[in-house]
Amino acid sequence: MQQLSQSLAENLSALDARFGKSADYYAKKIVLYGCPGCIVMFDGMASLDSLWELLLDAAGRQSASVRLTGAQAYAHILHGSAFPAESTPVQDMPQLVARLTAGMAVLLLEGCSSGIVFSVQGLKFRSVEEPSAEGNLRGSREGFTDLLRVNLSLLRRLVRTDTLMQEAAQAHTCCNTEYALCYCKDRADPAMVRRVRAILQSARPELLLDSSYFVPWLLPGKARLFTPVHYTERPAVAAAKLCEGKLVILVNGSPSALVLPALFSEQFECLDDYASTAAFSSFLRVLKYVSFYLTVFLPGVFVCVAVYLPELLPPQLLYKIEAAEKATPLPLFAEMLLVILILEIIREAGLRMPQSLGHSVSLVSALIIGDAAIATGLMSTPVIFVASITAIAVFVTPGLYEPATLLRIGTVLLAGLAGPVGLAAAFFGFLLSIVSTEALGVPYLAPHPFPQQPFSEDGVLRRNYRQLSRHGFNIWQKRERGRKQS
Amino acid sequence: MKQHTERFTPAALTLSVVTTALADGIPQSVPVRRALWLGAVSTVCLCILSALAAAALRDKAPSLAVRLALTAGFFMGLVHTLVQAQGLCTAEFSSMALLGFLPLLLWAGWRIRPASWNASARVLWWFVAVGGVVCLLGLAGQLHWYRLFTTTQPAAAGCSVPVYAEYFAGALLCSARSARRTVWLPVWGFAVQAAALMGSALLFGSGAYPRLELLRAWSSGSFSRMDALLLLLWLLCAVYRASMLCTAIRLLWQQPEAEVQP
Repeated sequence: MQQLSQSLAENLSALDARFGKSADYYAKKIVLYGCPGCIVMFDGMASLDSLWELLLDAAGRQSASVRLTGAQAYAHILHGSAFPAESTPVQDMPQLVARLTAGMAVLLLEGCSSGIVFSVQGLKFRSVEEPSAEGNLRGSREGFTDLLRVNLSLLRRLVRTDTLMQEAAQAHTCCNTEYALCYCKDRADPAMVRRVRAILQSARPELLLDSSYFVPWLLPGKARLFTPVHYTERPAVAAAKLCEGKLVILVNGSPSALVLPALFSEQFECLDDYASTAAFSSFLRVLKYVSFYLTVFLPGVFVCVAVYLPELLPPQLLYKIEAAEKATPLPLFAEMLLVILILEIIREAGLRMPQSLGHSVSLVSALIIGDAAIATGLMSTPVIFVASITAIAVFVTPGLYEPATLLRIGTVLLAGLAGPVGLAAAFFGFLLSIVSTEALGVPYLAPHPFPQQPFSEDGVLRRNYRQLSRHGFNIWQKRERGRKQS
Repeated sequence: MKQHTERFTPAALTLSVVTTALADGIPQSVPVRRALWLGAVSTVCLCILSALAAAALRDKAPSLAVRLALTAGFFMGLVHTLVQAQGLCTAEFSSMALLGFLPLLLWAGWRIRPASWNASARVLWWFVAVGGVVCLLGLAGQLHWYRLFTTTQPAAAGCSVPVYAEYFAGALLCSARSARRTVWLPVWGFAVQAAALMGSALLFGSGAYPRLELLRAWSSGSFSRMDALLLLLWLLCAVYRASMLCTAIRLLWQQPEAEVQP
């Protein structure tokens, strides 16, 4: 580790060697209290105006009649003046680079082997806006931004207790990206906090562009369909999760906060649930569960019933399906698979393409799927109807989009190839996949023994919020209960 | 530090017993009332035997003979369930696909932890409960008590009672606290068999009809064939049982010799 030298020239030449060719590197030589010094910072990240107001103007006026050595000037600025310098100076080159890249300005003085840091960040960042991916009718409209410090301040503003801990650290990546582990120390399990902290410190992602990049380190090992973590872009949701004892990981440069551990039922909850009546929010949750199971199993069940168990269908419906299928060249199973894949392609295209072209794609897709495919006799109306319901239903639970899509395709394949047995196998696979998932010892499927305690207080149905508030929820209770039952 | 072995919950074992008992049924060679009485007496005896086995195996390492006997019982149960499931698939769905899934099924059974089976059992119990209610609703209005007293009952005297390895393995497969509840497993087995027999008798006047006819009698407006759906549910439970028994066998042999249950 290269320590800072007492010679200003040596320090500057070391910095020049590193950043000299960078267009944004800014080094301005000054004289303070009769001592030569230099202000170093990155243009656009640190604000020269702020630095001038905070330090240079006042120091310039004071130093006209004073002559100090580098060490004396350092001690005076850091301890003997009201200049708002950071309490911890930098003493080596990696620290100096870390502060500079965080948008701070560093004052180096001749004859002093430490640099004084000033928090004069002037970073340009996206303003605090409502996240587009998480819609809500009531509650906070704020969303996380891309800057870690802003996100931490948004959380701090909501959780105004001395128990909220926000531990920032630098990940071992090629970009030295900063991340923060947030938790409430009176609610989170200390052993799990230690474990997660150690995992994050030992993680070696090549790049860290989002909090989700940590998942393979946090949940190592086998392949899984369901990931027992939750993502949110809303500080209000993150604050609520912190109060449930969960851990929140934020990464600089990403507005997406990773919350762990998460329960399956949480994918069906939103802030609005608690703002409306218990009866209505329970109704909405039942709808969401129905939508999720529809999106996973409806196409498979349709293929299985129509092909292998037609006697299950009412005759009128069966005749209509039969008539529609007779007009198409492909078998029902292949047709369903084709429509699902086409819908996925359209969705992916709509997501990735420039928004200005989105409407054109929607129009073309509607024409192709809705009209041309049926008119040419390539696809039947019942199949498109079922696939469309499925495609819409999946967006009711966006957090489960990935497993739902894979499971849907798997179910159609198994039901189409193996009939009722394949359908049973698909459901069995789904069941085993979901019950085998856990994070930090908390099972993804909360343990509510049947029939002793079939319903959670805040699960598919929820109780009155006043009753729920009587005994607070803590995620680590779930782990204890799960252990007792096994 | 001694590692704590994961165990099954009584609900998981009960689901396994209920699944196979539902398929086995009470032999229909005897009159319904006689079969019910004999079944009740046999169940009491089995409960006593189950309690004795639980008391004998509690806090003790199972001997090799016990392990071998229970393994044989579980293995026979596994084969029996697979044969029943394949028979159902062939007869009702004209499908041999179960054989294709068999290696995957056994592999899953061998690899998956008991906690996963416990959680699966909770979900499947919901399905069984809903299936039972749907079945009852569909048969509502068709069940009549007087049919129990008709003279068209079979007159044979023999009556065999199925015995499952789960009855005697509760102390080894469940935690000490919940092992007591496994003593009632024979009651669950008998309850579903008796319900099926009673249903047949109340519906047809005799228990001699194939049990599938009970499902086929289901009727509600446009949907006339719910039996396939209920059979699919049983198939799911059978697949569960087959895989769970693999885990049970593994658990039997993985228990350390000197392990004392908490």
